[in-house]
Amino acid sequence: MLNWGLYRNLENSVKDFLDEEVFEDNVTDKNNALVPVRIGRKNSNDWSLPCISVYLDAENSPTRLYVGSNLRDRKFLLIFDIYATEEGERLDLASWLTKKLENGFRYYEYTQDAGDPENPTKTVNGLVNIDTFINNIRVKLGDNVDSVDAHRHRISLTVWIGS
Amino acid sequence: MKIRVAIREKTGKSFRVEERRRVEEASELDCERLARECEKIIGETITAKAKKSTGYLASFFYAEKIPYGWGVGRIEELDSKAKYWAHQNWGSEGIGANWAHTLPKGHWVNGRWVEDKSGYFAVPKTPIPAMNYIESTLATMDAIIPQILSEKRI
Repeated sequence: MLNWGLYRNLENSVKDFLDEEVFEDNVTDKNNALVPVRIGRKNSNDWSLPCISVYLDAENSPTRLYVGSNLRDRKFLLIFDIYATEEGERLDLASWLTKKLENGFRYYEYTQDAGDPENPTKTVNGLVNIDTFINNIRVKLGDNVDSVDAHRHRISLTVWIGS
Repeated sequence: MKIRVAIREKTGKSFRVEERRRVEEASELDCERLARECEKIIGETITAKAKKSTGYLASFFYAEKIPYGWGVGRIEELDSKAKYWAHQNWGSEGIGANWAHTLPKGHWVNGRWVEDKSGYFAVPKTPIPAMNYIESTLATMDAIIPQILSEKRI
């Protein structure tokens, strides 16, 4: 089996970072429960509101790092969806998340342990730098939407990994 | 003694006026080139990411002149002719579906769910997945804008 690659490492690095920050800042919902961070683009019935989902959507590397090099200027598009229960909560979570992401976060490489697959070993191997905030907007899907989609917020940004 | 110098180009026009006209023309041309490139990229992105692309949604993302520049994808037109553009970009539980993905009473018309009180309940197999074609296009544009602007004009 392949070791976890860059994409999976990146997604898990974001999740680890946000989990720690949620705990540090005590980001909780109305019932005083910590807001969960999920990886993935698809909701499951076991997801509860509010929550933050994150996933890597695409890699954009159209240009070479420098003339004559086969190295690419690799940039990754990360999508954050905030599913809130009401508008105030959506705005607060969006504002908190934007502030937290601004300075970037650590990039980890994960090594799986066959004996304990739920807890892979992680090693710091760089810093994820924010390149561009693509958008930071309320997701408007019309009037006739489910409660899950009623107070959604989308933050998308491109990042690059530096050592 | 004050000396006033007026710089004029060969034909005798004011340099400032002439330079301003030249910069406006160049920026107009650059805006158009970027809009046309954006149209191409968003079309390719939708086609590549859609499960069964018919080209219908992509056809509404075309470059057009707007006041003070160029634009791609007019929201009023998308809202009236390709109503599901937002659901396809951001993904959703389904149009009016609840947490368990049950749709309100209605029936299917050409693959679309139309609400109808005399219809029946249905549960779509999956929520509408987010295609993120707008974000993907903007990320690609962000990376290639310097490249496009540095290209020589023909």
